[in-house]
Amino acid sequence: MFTKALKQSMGLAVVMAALAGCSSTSTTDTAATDSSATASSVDSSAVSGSSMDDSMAKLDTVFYFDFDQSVLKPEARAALTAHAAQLKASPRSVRLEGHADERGTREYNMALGERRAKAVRDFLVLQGVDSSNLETISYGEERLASSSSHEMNRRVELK
Amino acid sequence: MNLPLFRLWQLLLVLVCFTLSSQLRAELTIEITQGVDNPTRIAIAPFGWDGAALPENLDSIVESDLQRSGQFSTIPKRDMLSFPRREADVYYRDWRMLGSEYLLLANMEQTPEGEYQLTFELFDVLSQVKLLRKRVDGELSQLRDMAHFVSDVVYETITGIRGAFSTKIVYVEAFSSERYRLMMADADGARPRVLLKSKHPIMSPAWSPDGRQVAYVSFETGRPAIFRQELASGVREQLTNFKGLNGAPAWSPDGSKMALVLSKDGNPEIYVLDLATRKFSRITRHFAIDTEPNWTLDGKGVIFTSDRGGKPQIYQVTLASGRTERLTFEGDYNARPRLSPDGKHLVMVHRLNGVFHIAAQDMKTGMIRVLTETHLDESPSIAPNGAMLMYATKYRGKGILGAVSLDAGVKFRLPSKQGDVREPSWSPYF
Amino acid sequence: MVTATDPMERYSASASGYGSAVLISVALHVVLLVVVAWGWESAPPKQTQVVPRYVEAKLVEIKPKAEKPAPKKKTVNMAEKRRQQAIRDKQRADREKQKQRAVAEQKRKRTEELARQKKLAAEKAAKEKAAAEAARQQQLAEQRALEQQQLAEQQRIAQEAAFAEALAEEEAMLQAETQAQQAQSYIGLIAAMIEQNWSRPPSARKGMVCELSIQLIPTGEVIHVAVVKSSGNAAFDRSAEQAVKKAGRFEVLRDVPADVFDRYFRQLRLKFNPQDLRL
Repeated sequence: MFTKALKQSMGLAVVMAALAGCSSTSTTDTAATDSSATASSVDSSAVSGSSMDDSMAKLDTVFYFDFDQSVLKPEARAALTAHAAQLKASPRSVRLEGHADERGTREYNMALGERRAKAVRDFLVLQGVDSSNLETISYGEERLASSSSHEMNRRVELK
Repeated sequence: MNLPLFRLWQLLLVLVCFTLSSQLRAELTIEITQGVDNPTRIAIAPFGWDGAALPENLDSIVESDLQRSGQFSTIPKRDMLSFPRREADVYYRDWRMLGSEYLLLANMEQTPEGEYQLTFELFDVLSQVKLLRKRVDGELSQLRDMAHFVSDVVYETITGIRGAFSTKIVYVEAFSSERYRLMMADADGARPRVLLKSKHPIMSPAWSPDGRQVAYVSFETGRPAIFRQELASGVREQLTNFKGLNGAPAWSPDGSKMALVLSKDGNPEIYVLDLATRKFSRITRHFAIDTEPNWTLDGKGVIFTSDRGGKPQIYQVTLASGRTERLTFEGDYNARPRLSPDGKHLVMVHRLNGVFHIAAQDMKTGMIRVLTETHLDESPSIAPNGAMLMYATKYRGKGILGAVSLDAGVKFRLPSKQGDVREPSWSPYF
Repeated sequence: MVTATDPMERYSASASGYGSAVLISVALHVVLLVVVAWGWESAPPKQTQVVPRYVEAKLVEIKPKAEKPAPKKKTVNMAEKRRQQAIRDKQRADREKQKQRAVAEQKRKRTEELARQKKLAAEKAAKEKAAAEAARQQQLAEQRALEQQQLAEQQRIAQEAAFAEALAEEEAMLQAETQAQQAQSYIGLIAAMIEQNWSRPPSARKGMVCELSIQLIPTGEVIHVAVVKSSGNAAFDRSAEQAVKKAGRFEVLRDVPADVFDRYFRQLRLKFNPQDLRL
């Protein structure tokens, strides 16, 4: 019974995430990420200059993934394209931190996190970003963003 | 008539008749095909001691040890009719009435030099014989070790298996996302000692085969890197510094090599580091994830997790030939393999109906048995006597350590600590 | 014979003329005939013994004959003489023939008598023999009958005995079956009690088997336990011994009849062959 409920809630979560990704009213869902994005954008703006403030504030820097997947979702791709443009314009070292949710074994999740981080890196490189500026680190399940939501942990953070 | 000779003939005749008759009477054989495996009932009388109160309660330590093994149940002290300290004080019938099968007595004395001497005796209540009498000596700081020694002797005498009560464990304790500790404690969780404090994650601790060092992954450099640390001195050494993954260190059975995971060549692959020459040899060549290596008993092969088949499964590679074969076929997720000390069982993390459990696969038959009932189980580590295994799980949202016997008959949780406890590694015999 | 001739000679002396000559010749012819007749009679001793009587009888007849010839005329009529001679011859011959016939008859009679007697004797002998034989046969028959009777009796006894034995055997079998059935229920109880007390050590593995030999007394108490076949694992063997010792006493055996107890339960073998081990 527990597993059925789990599957249902997971299914629901996935559907909701898809909706969140697809719909234009995504602001509420990504509120948490926005705050972190704002924080990171503050840092980056300090480096690149105040002219970037407006565009930076809107960019996502956390990208989520489906369970056991390292495929970029469309919204991630959109955000990353923007990032790529920025990075090409003003190159800086970027740290891509890959994570996994806590299900499964730790070292395997390290590899999963790395796969996700590399997916983001590969995309940026395809967009023309210099790969030597991109560093990928995996934290596996060692740095959980949430103790209750699995999907919040399946992420890559762009720093 | 020669009387003694006559008696001798009589005796012979009787013997012949007896043997004949017993031959003639066919003996009935009753077959016993099952048991109930109730724990062996043992009475541990309070250990005798006439000095000042000791910092440790030795008979309680022995009691906890034996009970935790799942093989024993102890008679409560309040039920005991007497507290014998030596053989002369033992009335077997009293103990038999309590339902006790064995009786353990001990008496502690202190030499003028300050050394403590614990003399203990074990009695078989049903057969009414003394099984052993031994003595163990130690200093005040070693009282717990003396008690564990008694537990080991009692356990081995009765079960035939070497006790693992004097072994240790290493584990990671996480207090927050910024506070991590590598800890070492007794197998019962007592006397925890900090091996490493860090703001950054610590992962995958592994005991060296001689029990003198621990290898682990630390993020202290900003990236995961493999370190080894000598327990006695605390001296540390960084072994890897590659980009990408540096993980899952595993000591070879002879302690001369270490298998590990590096993704420096594009994707996670398994390498072997020769600790003397510091040379790396690549073991796997596959675009899939290959990780979590562990050595076979003879040191000639490595078992590991790979998703080259689409989902994580367990494989084995022979180092000399490079020949790789898949070991697990049941379930869609099998990872983190560990072989039992006798090589007959493969313990792993196994997903069943979406839930992660610890399971054991019989290496001969391939049959998988799920051992745990808890959820989000991971990091199984087997005791050096193969009787128990410890693993990490969650209990009420908190990371704790659980233990289960290899036949899943015994289960218990270790007392939880302040932080989230994870990744136990059971020491070898010292 | 000598006496026969002697009277002849005296007659020849006393006769005169033809009368004496005829007498002599007749006598001589008679003698001759007798000799001839007697000569052919080479008879068995018995007959020769009998002969003298006939001879005496003849002599007696002859004497009157000899006295018969009356004195005749001296006229010599040759033809008459011849005729008379012929008559006399004929008469003589007839007499001879008669004599012979008589002799023969007597002989025949004698022979007959002998034969008859012989036959009689034989018959008697035969009869006696037959009787003896009969008696013997009867005795044999009686004996045989007796033997048969005895045999029949023996057979009957044997049959009865066999029947009784078969009956006893069947009874014993039935009893054994009942005993076995009784024992069976107790066996189940004993096994259950031991199983309830058997804790296998952690080193126990599938395939381990050990055998114990135990001795019980009618109260059900175990008075002796010994390992007769080890499993190779000391802890496993000990766990089996402990299981029996923990059970200690099989109270149920108190109700067992003495014969069933002695047959099945005084000395028992326990084979510990676990089928429920996980490892």
